[in-house]
Amino acid sequence: MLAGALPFPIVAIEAPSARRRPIDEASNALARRAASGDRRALEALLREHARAIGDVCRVIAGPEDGKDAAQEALEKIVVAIRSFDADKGSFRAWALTVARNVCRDRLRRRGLERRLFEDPGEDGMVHVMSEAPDAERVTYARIESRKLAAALETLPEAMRLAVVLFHVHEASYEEIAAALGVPMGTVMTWLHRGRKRLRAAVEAANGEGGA
Amino acid sequence: MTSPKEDPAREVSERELLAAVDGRRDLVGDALRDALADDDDLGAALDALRDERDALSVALKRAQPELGGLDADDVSELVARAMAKADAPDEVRISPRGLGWGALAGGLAVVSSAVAWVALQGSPTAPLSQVSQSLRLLWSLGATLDRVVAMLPGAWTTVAAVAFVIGTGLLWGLKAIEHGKRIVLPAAGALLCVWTLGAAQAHAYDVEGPWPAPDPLVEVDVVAQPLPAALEAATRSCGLGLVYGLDDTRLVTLHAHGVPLREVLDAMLGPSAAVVRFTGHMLVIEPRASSVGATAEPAPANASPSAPVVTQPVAAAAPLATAPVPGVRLEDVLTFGGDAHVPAGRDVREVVTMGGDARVEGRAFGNVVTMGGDADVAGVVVGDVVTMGGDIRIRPSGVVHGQLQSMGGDVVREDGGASVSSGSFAFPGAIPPAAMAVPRHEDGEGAGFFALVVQTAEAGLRYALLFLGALLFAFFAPERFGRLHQAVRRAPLRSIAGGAVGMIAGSLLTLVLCITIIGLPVAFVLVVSAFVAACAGLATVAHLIGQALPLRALEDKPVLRLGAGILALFLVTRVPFFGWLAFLLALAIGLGAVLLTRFGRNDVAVDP
Repeated sequence: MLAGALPFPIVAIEAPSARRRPIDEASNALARRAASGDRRALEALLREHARAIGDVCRVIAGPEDGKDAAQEALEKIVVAIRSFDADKGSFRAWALTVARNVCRDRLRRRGLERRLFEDPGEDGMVHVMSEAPDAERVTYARIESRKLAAALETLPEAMRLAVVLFHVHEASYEEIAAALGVPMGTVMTWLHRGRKRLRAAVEAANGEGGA
Repeated sequence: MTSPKEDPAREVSERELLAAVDGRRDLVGDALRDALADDDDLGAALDALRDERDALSVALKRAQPELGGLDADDVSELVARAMAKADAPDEVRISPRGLGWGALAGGLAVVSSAVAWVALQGSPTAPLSQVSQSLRLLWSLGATLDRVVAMLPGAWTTVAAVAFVIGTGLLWGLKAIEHGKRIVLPAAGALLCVWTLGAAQAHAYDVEGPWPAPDPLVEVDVVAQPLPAALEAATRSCGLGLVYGLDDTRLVTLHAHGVPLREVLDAMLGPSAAVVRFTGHMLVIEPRASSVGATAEPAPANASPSAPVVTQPVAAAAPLATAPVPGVRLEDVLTFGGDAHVPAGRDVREVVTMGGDARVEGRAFGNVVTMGGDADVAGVVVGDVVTMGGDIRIRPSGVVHGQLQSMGGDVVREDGGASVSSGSFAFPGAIPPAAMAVPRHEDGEGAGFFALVVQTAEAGLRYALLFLGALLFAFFAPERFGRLHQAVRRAPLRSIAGGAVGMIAGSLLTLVLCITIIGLPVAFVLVVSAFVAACAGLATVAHLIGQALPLRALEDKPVLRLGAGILALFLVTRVPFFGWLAFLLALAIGLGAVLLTRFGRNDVAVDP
């Protein structure tokens, strides 16, 4: 009854949780303190984001050079923290952008520069009902970590990185887009297709396991 | 009948669907909203997708060790190393290739700006002329200060004592800023020695009355002659007579050709407690009133009696420039906080105002100096006219034989109702009203624009040289450059404070050292050190500016950053008034960093 009186339809969409906000205010507050010379805040900030930076570096610079690239990125963040402007975006996006630039520079120096993040193509249309997973098909809760990791490896690098940043490091679409230097729509497509592919890969793995 | 799965209305974009699942309401379109509002099954389907998303997140986090990412030990190690970087000097390393390209670009900038500057000046010797004018300005200011101080009780001894107290206080302040301890006591001891000795030696002989302008040139060769005879030969060569009343008859050898008389007197009289007076055709040298009876130096055994030596001027000598009536003792005009006025028909020596204007309608045989006021010349000024923070206005009847120097003000010449305005000029030599004009351009607007172009070319040359110097400094002493960089970044407030205190203390110390004869070598070293420190500080600030510029092309390119920063500094300092303030700020912060780090040797803690 009430819904009919409203000029817009009531849509049952989950409210964005704090961790999915475009800007992570907690990290930004810490970054402000770090930028003003607070060593503890800086260290806490590095610890919080080191893994995400490591994952970005591992994907872009490669598994062999990833750790060194992450080290260089963290050092750059330490040196450049004063230039971080919390009003312009989130610290996570800034830090991941620093990491991406470090990796690209390292690749360029070694003559290995490559186009990593290809456009995934047009935003495809899907039938909503067919997207809904069956209760029997979703088996993430029971899958072994090793199998999940292997399934993740089957994704293209950029898609894999977007999935990891979103699901593991709780980055928002905007932060991932800023960090990888691609449009937000591209990130969303990667995430959508990444989930789909992972689901398929996990189902296949479960099927093999069960067989 | 169409099944729900095939219903075209249920077809939405991948991105919209993802946004709906992830709760990004702002990214969901109207079509999907409508569908969700109409269809409960669709809502249930989205809930299922959300559950799947959450399950995936949990599973991926659990599987993180298997994903090949950093483990806890890796994170600790990387963070520890990165934090060590926070304590290390900033890294500003210039490669040999960068140095080469930078030197080439800087060299081209130096050559082009120097050529432009010299061409605009209209004479290849113009730069040298400017240097000589600057030195003369310093001399004028020093001489004026000497006159002012002579009026104080205790003269330079009082000034030295006050300067010592102030200087020590400033150094203590610097110490408090820097958190260091080792500099203060030795520095204070050295200052005490220098100032005490300097005060005792300061201007042992004094000059009274106007001094001829231009200074007569001495042409003489005497070997092992008594001082009076040597002085007589020197003054005779300039067409002057001599009255000599000192006991000092030591033997001297003098070879002087084209040397100004004042320099000859400096060399020969040195520490003698004497008064030298120029009367128009005669030079009178007699014991200072306070020291009559107290001989500065014992006369040699073979000295002649101390009767005054009187010689007549050479009959054929040409009269010197504007001179007062012989025998008239001229007074100085000194005001604090008020205006100074020399009415028509009155002759004075120096005119000095602090916080007031000076108006000369009569004749001033010394310099006219104003601090914080304007100078208005409608009469004759034999010396220089110097204003600090004020304008110089020359009336149609005004004549200035010396230079015009306006620091922070304009030089305005009125010529029959029309006035010519310029920034800051020095006019060497006697300037009759008709000849006194802004160089090269006669019209007012053209003169102002031309002056601006000349100043810009000159400033361009200075900044190009700064770039080359900074390049060499950063290449050969990257760690020191990095520490300066770090000091400005970590402690900007203390750098500004340290720089300001350093500038005040340095200026004070240099002034005292310059005026005291014994301190001149120390003053020279101090000035050179301050110049180098200022250049290093400005280079540091310029690099930081370059680093802060939001240009991707400058990332990891210290030479380009340096160049861009110096260019930005150059452009900012071209802005009237604000530019000067910006330059002072940059100088203070850079100099402060140099002082706080002991020229890049020590690290500086973060500002509290």
